[in-house]
Amino acid sequence: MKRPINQTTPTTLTTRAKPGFLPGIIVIIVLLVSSSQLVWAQSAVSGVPNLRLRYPSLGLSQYILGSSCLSLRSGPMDLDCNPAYLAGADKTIFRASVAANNQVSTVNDYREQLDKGDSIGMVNSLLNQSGPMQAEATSAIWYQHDWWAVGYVPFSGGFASYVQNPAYPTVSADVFKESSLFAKAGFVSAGDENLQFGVQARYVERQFFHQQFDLLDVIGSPGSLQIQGQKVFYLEPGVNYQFDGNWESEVSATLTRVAIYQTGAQDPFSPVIDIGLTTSPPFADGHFRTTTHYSNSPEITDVLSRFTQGAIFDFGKVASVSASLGKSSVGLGVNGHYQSVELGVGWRSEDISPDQWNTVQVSTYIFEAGLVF
Amino acid sequence: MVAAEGRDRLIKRVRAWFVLGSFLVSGLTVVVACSGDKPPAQNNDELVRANELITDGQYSEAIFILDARVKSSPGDEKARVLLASGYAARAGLMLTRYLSFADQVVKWGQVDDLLPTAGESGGAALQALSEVAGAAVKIELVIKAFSALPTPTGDDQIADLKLAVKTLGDGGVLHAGPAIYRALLKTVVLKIDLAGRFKLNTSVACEIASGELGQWFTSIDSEIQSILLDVANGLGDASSAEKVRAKATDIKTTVDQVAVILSAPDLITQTLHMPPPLVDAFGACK
Repeated sequence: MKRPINQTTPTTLTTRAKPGFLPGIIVIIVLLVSSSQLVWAQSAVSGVPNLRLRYPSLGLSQYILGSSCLSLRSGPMDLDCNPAYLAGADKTIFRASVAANNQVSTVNDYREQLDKGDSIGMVNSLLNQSGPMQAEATSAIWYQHDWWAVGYVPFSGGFASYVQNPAYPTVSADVFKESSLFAKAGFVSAGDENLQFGVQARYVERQFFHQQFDLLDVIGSPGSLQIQGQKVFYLEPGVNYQFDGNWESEVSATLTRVAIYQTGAQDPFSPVIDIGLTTSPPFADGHFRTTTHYSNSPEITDVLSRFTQGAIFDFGKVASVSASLGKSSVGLGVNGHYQSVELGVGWRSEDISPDQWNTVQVSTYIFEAGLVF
Repeated sequence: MVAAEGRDRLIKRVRAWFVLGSFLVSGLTVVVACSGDKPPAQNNDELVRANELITDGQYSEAIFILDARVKSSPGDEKARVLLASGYAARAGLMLTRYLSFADQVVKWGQVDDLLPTAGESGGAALQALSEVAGAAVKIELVIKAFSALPTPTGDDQIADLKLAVKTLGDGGVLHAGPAIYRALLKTVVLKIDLAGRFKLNTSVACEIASGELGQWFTSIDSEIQSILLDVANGLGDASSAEKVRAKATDIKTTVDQVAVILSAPDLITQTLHMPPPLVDAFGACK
């Protein structure tokens, strides 16, 4: 059974697609972008992820699902990551929310120590950190009306650090903060109602720092650490094809991180392809969706870690449970609303490899609160 | 009709082969891409591995790897610094143990900002008082900083510390972090030596021969000069480095003058009472 698609929508395109070629086209694009991604992989800083390069999360469920949200239709209170899913949607929603993980409080402690002038205490806390740390927070306001959505992210930020060798400390650090505006829309192909397209336009202003350095080098030359700034305009298309059948199978793909304009710090042109095969088992009556997702992100260097199993279970229009499972990450979260107040809580664990011999697990609890109308 | 069916089958087969071929090529590309992601060359692997071993507390294993590396590549500064850090870690000298020392050094640097200035309404007397108070506070802070320095106690630890300094010393002139690191380690060695090699030969009454005190000042001055030179080389800011070099020159000039005075023929045989700050700092009469 297909989802309702409004054939009379004025956004219908007069494209006659050949769905059989769709996977082939996707694979060709994969071929084209793979080579450029080596640049990113080789510039990775050991021990910490490059958080700013991840697909941005607007809330709890997207933190839990990670990039697999690009191939999974969202819950009733969330916004679809893949713009193609907006095609034919029947949903009008305004939402404002804040989400953060528990390690944000540790970063806040560091900030307070610095504000009090206790830089020695702050360094002491940082050096005594037993393992990698990863703090993330985001706030977002967005509005969706059926096939289109607009939003503003006043603040999204992340901090990750890892200290090695306490006698001569090497610090790996990743810090970013950004604000962004986005608009996305989905369209149904006129030639084949099973085929949907979408595109997201995203303008981001960010500051970031991603570097590995020897602490004593920095003490001698504090100016050697430079925070970089950039303004980027991304255009990120998505496509989805629904197969006929009870399982509502879909194959979808997105091309993200397509920077068509950037000023300030220049990132190499390195789009990321995400592909997913989604099903909704008939016994769950449409409440349960699961995806087998593949991400071509250059930050993921282990082939098996590129695959993630993502799932969402909706309890009517009141609450959703999100879950993801991959070789190097696992997450589970639930969010729901009572009247206009929305709350959520989740847990996510991620493997970080400081080098090829060690893997360290970073677990965080994520909390979300917001208003939904 | 049959021909049309045959054409459809052919088209379907072509599509199937196209998709299959694309996936195979894609898979191959992913494998190639991932093989490009392999860790840096073996040379860098050794250093990364050694750094991780030190993080995990396996100092002797790290030292084994790095010692071989430094012997085969004496000019490899990164390996040399890591080897020194391995010895220092085995001696128990983690950087966090220097934080109290750093705190006192930071306060020392802030003393001039905290002292009152005479201004237009003040007089020369107030200015002089302020300078004297500043000097007294600075001496007090230096003593506190020195007391806060971590010192290994066991013979093996002291031997490791000296090996760390020697490892860095063999690297010649150092810059940036390695230079500051060598300055820190040399300062710890100096503290140990003040209780050993440079121990003042005082009487129970805390008296010392004037000439002997002059020689003592001269002998520790070369150590202080060497430490300050490393600090200057470690500072990225040229004007700060120049200030440290100027301070080193001031100290040398003062020490030379004091040594000349203490070694003067009419003073050399006389005994002097140990200055209280030295007693406080080194416990020379205990």
